[in-house]
Amino acid sequence: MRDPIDDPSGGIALVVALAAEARPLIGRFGLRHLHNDGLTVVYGAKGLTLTVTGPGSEAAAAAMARLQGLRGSEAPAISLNVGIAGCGHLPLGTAFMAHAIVDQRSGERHYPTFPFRPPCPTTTVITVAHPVDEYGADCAYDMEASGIFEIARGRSELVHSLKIVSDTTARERRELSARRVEELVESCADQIENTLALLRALTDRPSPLSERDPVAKELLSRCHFTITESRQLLQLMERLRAVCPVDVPEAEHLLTHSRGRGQQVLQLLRRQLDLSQLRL
Amino acid sequence: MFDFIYVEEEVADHPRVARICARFPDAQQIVVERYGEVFNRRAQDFRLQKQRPALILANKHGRRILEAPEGYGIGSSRNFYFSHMLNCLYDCRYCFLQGMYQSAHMVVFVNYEEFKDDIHALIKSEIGSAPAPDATPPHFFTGYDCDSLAMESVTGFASEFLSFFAAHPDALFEFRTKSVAIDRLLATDPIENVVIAYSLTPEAVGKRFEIGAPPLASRLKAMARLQEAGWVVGLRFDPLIYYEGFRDGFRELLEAAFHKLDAGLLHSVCLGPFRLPRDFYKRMRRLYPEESLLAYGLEDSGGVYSYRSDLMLELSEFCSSELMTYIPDNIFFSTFAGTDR
Repeated sequence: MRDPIDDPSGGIALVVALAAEARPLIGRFGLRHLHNDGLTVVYGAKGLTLTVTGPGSEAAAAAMARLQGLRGSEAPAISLNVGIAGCGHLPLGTAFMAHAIVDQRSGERHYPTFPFRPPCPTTTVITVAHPVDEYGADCAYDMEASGIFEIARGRSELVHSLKIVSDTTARERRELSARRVEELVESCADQIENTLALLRALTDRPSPLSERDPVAKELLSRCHFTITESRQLLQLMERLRAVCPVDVPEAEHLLTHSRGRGQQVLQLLRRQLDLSQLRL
Repeated sequence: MFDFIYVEEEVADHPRVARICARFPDAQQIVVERYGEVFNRRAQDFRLQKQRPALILANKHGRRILEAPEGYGIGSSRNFYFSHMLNCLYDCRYCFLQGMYQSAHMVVFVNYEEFKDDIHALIKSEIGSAPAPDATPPHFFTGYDCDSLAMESVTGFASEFLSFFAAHPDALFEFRTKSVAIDRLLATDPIENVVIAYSLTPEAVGKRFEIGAPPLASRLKAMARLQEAGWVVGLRFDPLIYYEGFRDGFRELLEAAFHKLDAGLLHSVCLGPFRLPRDFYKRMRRLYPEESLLAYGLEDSGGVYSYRSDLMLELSEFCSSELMTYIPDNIFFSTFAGTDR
């Protein structure tokens, strides 16, 4: 099976801070261990990766940057930070999403995009460096979201944070155990999976300039094209498929009539496009 | 309609904000420092956001009244536009807004009074600058970055600006719309210096590309009602799309329009080909790689993507000649290159 980190289909990046948050998700999604560089641990399967960043915003940001390095140029289509958070105005165990993320130290703000009706309550999440003792009336507190967004947001629109209320008071926070964290995430596993399904449905659209176009692939492998001409080929193929999908010539036809010359192929495709019609 | 409303801190207590938010009691209100934090963020996905845009309420600072681009006009040499709103309720696939803006969220600038002050000052300076006897009045276009009427129930734009327009008879004001939300207009005595201009395309084009917009028949019906009520209306056949069968489509469009409307009462009729600045075009292609409208017949000419010359000529000649069988020359305006109107 192809390593999900190398999966060029975009995929989903789940991001958690703690091993206890990861364990229920590893079981739920059948993930296997993929990578551990001593700082970042990655699990994955079937186009889904789960990264355990370690606690703290800086560790989260660093882990996200490392994950991007591992993935290369392919950013995940979806990044979902899952984890626990302290919140004074929602009941224990409630799953909620962040509609605003504020870094307490820097003041930087992120506003996740919701091209879908939120499946659960939303609130502002304040990412703090140290646990707080006083809980505000209209926000929640975590320690990683801001760092994750700082890195992930630059490459994808669908970056979200889904948190589970683990404590409503400082005392409850102090009494938290790894076991309890695991139970909380496990109790919201359905909601996490449903949220992923919601996000996944939004990513179903054509990818531009795809080298996976079979005709383009064959032409590129059997003809010489300069880099500029290769790009022109992909653009012409994309336009042809948009305008006249049933009239896209076969690679063999183009190769025969161009005598295998890249420039001739481009001319043939341009002519085909010029002769086509926009049909409504 | 909106799950989220972002409210600029500065206008959090503005009465207009309170009125708008009261219409959406279930929406989550999020206070932001400046609307640009949300609207101008880099690497946004317009296409995704358009599925469920949020509303942003803000103050418009700086220059609120801008000079209209060259070629944009209906008979005046002094053309301006202002945008009380950014983005549109409708999702027309040819619309330049999706190439211009990072975000599909709708922004409403609630400081209408400052817009009015600026328009008033500009009119005074334009009128007062010793114009030549045959100088045309300044024209103000309100539907450049949005549909002027589609969000009337939220913005109250017409309600709040009509009397202001009436109080400035030395200028002309254009509403540009596809909307049939004309109740406010019908409830108001017609104002001579206000033109309600409708964007119209052949029925097949509307069905295919004007997602969410009222169908052609509904728009024509609304225009007819406005004309009957004494309002001055204009026709905007813009953008003209070149497609297989465009001749029949345009003919049928004109037949339908002039069957419903009194040509003798029209203020102006404009023709304009489909065109996009290069950067907007490229962004739209990336958003909609599968869209045939953006893939067919267009080429870059001086930084603007428009139809190649043979298609352009065909569009221009056919549409102009058909149109001129219905209207006099003096109300015809065209943005085709090489035309002097």
